[in-house]
Amino acid sequence: MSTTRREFLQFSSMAALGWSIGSLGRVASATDVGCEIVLRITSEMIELIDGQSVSMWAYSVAACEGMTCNRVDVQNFRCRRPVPGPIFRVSEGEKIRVTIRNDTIPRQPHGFEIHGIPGSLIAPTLNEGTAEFTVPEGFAGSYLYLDSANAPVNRVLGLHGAFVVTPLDGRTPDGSPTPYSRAQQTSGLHALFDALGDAGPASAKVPNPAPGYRPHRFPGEQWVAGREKVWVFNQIDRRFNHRAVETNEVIDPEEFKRNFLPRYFTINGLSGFHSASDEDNLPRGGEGQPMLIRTLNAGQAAQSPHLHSNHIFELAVSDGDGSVKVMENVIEKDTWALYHFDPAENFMDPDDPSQVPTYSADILLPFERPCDVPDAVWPPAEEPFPQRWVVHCHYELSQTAAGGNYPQGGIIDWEMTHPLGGRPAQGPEPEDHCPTGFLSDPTIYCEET
Amino acid sequence: MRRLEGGKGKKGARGGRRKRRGKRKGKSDSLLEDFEGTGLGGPLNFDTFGCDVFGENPDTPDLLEPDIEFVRDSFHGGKLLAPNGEEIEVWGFEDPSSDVEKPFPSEPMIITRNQIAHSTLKAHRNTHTIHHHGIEPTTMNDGVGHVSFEVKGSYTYQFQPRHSGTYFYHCHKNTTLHFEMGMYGVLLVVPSQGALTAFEGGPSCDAQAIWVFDDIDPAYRELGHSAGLCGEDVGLNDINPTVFVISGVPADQDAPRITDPAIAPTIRGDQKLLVRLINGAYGPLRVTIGDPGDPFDMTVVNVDSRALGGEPGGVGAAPWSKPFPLTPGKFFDLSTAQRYDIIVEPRGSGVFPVRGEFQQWVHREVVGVAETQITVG
Repeated sequence: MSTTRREFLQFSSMAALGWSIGSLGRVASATDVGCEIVLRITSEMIELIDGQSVSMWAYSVAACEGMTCNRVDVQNFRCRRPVPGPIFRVSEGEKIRVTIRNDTIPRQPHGFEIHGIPGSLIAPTLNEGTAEFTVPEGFAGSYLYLDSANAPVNRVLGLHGAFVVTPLDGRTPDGSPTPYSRAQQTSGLHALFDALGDAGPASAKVPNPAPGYRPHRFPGEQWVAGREKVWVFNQIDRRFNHRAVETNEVIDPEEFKRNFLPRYFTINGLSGFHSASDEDNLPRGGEGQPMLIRTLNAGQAAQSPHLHSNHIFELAVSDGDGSVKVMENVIEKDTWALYHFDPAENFMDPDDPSQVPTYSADILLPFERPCDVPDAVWPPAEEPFPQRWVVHCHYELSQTAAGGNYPQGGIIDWEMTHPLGGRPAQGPEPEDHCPTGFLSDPTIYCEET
Repeated sequence: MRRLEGGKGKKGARGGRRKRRGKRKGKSDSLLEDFEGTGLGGPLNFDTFGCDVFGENPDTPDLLEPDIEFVRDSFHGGKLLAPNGEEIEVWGFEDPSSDVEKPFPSEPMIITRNQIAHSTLKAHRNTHTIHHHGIEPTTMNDGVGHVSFEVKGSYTYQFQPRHSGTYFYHCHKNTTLHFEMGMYGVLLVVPSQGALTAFEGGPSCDAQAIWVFDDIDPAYRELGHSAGLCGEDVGLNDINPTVFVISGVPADQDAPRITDPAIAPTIRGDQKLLVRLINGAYGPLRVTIGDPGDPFDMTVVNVDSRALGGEPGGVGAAPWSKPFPLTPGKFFDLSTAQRYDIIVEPRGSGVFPVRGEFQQWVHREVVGVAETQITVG
């Protein structure tokens, strides 16, 4: 667990894009609460992949000085975007005070909740609201923070983000690092994380290997805490954004659920080319450098991410009650399910992997050598590194923008920079992949307190 | 194992045999120059990502002598007869060595594990690709345009599958449209014991059923090959299916049970059935096999072409996973493109229903059903 914090706060020129009206007031100083997070809720105008714009509600951190604890990281995205909100990383056991400040114009009541974290609910307010809570031990994993008022409208129209809880001690009994605390861990999780890397505990535990058995399924390194990405999926139907965010209409949630017809599909707020090459989205590493990816669907359409040229391991999922369920049966998949978030859908049995109405899944991308490349031609002699493949939702409707433009929807590339024993290779540089107006101002690193 | 020099030169399809190179180390610049017409070396920008993606006809890098070869000619203008008598156009891939013309789905590829496979696409209209879904190849052999290229004429994809299981292949150009039009087929990687065994060293079955559930929207048939690619709104964010099929056989929505023996298997009470199940629809699929209390057992042994618990003699044990049971009459969900291989073991005779409910992808209401059955005599 890190005891230092690095807050990546970027104050970019969002005013050029739209409203973002309001001032950054100084936040309250810390009391006995370990950590204080002050969030603004604003109305923003956001550029889409085809140059059209959409109004959304957004969470943002109000001010750098407000972060008074040592064990919370706040990560804004490098290509600045208002939605989703910043990624919070918090350690188990942390005491937190969250204050929201509703600066939307026009104004509707908004709230806050980290779904699955007890005590985090802030009732909808037109002004300010506060919740104080402690992240319990045994709660490591990935959570969605959101405005649960008028569900699912406020969430889908932008008020959501990822809240990551890291374990106080994530090691397996044999010492392999994992993203979950010991109380959450399963035998399946132990078997997988102990098998990673040349020096993993499992490498010396193979009794009487079968003919042809490879002693190291995962040559290379063990998973390293912090080697991770967060992907928050969402979908946009601009008709509802216009009505709610711009004209202040309170949308009937039943009408929303019935008539929502998404035309834009985002991962971490970006689509298509913008998303695929985005540094915060794109997993990059060498063969044998496994990476954790936290995938959450904040939208209303089911998502079915498919990763090319590696199978992933589904480690933990969340369904309607928001609790993180670490899988006993850690199944390799090339496609995993992210249904829409619905607190009523809560019938998952962790021992029955066939029924998973999940909206959140932590997966491990092993960065294995693509196993179906013939032995004789790995590493390839006539094909360059980095090798690049895609991750995309297989509900292919989501690969479009404004009814066409394939594949400018929910897609990300991933990149293997070098084979085992090699050095990272640099591929052709993508041209500017940040949307117009989303180019980052220089990142501000807050001083430690 | 022999490495071929100059892939297309081998078949005389193109001149210019590629010279074999040494290891790439220290040669990345020249390799990138070689691939400048593809996503591996060309400019990566908004246009090459989609509207003006790389279209090439390259040699296969690192070509080896194959153990098995497939050829697939792209076609348009196939016909599917819907239950209401309407003829619905389908596109697909035709096997020139087969007597079947314009099949839907396209004909299976069956590969024995560890065979070096060559899958040659001949694109006859504009460009297409083949992505062998679940196979883990190099970038050039993965069939995705913006990171490699779309095929203007012919290209041979190369891979050597290690894991037994159920895969599928499909066109990855303008996929929203091309997949919906029918440009897909089943790909089986079978262990040395053959197709009736789910994984190397697994239990031998006596019959198999391959069920690809798919939903079809006739309105998509009004769109052209590249519809929407350069910004036109052609409605590809929406689908309103009215025809629901299992492996290309439509289910009449008034009486959705398909009893065609090509779909509905019959086994004896002492036999085992291997069900290979694929969700090819653009929505979640809710599947129920049997009614509560029906006398048979079901075990999921492969998910997404990975043997649960591992494949002895193959890549090795996978102690993090294990086969799991399904219960007759209790639904389970498959997200699109997911696959289950299920072993069905009867404990008594009967005709057991199989029901797939197609859910709309946003509100998840059931928009259609397709049913079949398992008969145990």
